[in-house]
Amino acid sequence: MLSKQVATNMTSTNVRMTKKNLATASLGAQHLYAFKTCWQHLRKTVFASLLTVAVIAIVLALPMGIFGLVSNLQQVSQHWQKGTQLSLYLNTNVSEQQVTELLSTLKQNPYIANLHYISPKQGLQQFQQQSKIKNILQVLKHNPLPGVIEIWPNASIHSAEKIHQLQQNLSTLPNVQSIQLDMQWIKRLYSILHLGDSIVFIFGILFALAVLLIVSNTIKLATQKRVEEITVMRLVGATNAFVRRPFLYTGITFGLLAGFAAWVIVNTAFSYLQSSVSQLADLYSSSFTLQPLAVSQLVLLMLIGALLGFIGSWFAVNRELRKVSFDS
Amino acid sequence: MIRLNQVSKRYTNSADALKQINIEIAKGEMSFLTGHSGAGKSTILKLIAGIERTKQGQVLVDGTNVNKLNRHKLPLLRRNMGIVLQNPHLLNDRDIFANVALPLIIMGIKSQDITRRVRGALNKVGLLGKERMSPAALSTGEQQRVGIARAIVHKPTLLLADEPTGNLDPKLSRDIMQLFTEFNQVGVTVLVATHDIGLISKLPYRIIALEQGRIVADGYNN
Ligand SMILES: Nc1ncnc2c1ncn2[C@@H]1O[C@H](COP(=O)(O)OP(=O)(O)O)[C@@H](O)[C@H]1O
Ligand SMILES: [Mg+2]
Repeated sequence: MLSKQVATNMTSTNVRMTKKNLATASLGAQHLYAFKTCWQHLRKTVFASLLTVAVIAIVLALPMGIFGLVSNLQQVSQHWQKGTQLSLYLNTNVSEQQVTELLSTLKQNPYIANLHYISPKQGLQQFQQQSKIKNILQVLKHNPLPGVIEIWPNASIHSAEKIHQLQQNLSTLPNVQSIQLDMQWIKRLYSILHLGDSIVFIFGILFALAVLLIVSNTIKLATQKRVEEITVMRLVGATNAFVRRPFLYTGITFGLLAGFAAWVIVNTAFSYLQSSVSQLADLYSSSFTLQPLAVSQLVLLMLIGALLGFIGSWFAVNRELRKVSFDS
Repeated sequence: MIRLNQVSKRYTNSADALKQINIEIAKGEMSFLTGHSGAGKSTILKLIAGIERTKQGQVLVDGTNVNKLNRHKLPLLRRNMGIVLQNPHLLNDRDIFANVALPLIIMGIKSQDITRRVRGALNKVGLLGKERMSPAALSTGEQQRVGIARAIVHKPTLLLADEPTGNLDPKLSRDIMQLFTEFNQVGVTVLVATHDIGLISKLPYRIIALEQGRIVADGYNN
């Protein structure tokens, strides 16, 4: 059965595999094998794979959706913050000299970005323009309006406490009668936003764990069905890395697809929410629109998915690798 | 090629499977391990292949102490070996060609060379022309031969076989043994474990007989 020629061939070409040989052995062919194996496996288990991807996608979509909503709200709050404005009502009996002094003190305050003084006279003019009542002074005898300094705080003032602090500081200034600011409202908004951040953080971690468990369980099921393959691989001298590779590719593929699907899910949900959001925004005479997740967030989601898929499958394969025995 | 020095092996929570075994097998030698079931034949093969380890005694393969070998280097050790088991462990999700090609792919051999060498190996075991068949479509004897083709496709210097004829009738068993002697004739060191004394008692090769983990006879038929 054994031909002479093949026989001599066998002894003469006995090459010992050294460590160097191993390293320089065609890595391309090995990765190609891993890709092919992964692809064949996915093709044979299309339905189960799609199901896995769907589950991971939904699990990823939930925290990403919350994140998207919170960052939208933060966008809104930045608008508000630009609009956050304190009005300093001055005593009615201040002299122009005192006003000038007050203005120059305020200009030196590092927390104030911008200010604008409305004298009692200007105030009255504005009032007249808005109310279309001519000769209001004839009715009122004298100007009842106090001088008002409008203040726009600096961008560094971005929390309710800081605005509150600024307000307190300003109220101690001389000739300031009162300060107007809708603090309660801003406080509420900030605490909601803060809550949103925490929710994203906690849910993000929980969902990441869920994805890990799901991926690792799926890959575990896949490896259990392929114990024979793993056994043979090791019997004929495959390194653990080689055995792992197709499984890791599968996990990464699941993660990438799920990351993409999660992005699509969130943006579909957002576009569905868009009409109700616009209606709500109209009520507040705002042109606010819900911003969908950006492409950079798609990349981020896919990376996270791939990473989780990688880790999950790594654990699953290692668990199987440790178990494999060679009993005939 | 193979040298066991005072090797004992105890599996966890059981009696000694091997007791102070000394064996020396020269390069190019062909020998048989025999003994009843449970005598320790498989354990010796597993120690040589690095599938099992023991703290007592040395297991040297080509001068390397397998017991102390770093686990990362085990695959390299196995690439110098061909291992044949009673169950050929063929993968039914791929054809015979792909099964036999596995050791070469693992070693990163170029695909043209893979084709040539797989065909060469299948030729040796008399299965050329069946590359595209599924292993499941073959008879038991043919499946075992595919397993043997896979064990020799990468031209190992050492061939280990554990009950390779366990599932086969006497005629097929003799064919398989014939194959092993042919590999030995081209320089491969061959070590076959079998409890089938009838099959090997007339062959002119060394027989190492085991009984309850000890060597009770070591020599040639006359
Ligand atoms: N994995 C194992 N765990 C515990 N005991 C084992 C294991 N494998 C083999 N043994 C025991 O070691 C002894 C030798 O077994 P083995 O080498 O398989 O013998 P053989 O191959 O000659 O039938 C037997 O008593 C067997 O029960
Ligand atoms: Mg046995």
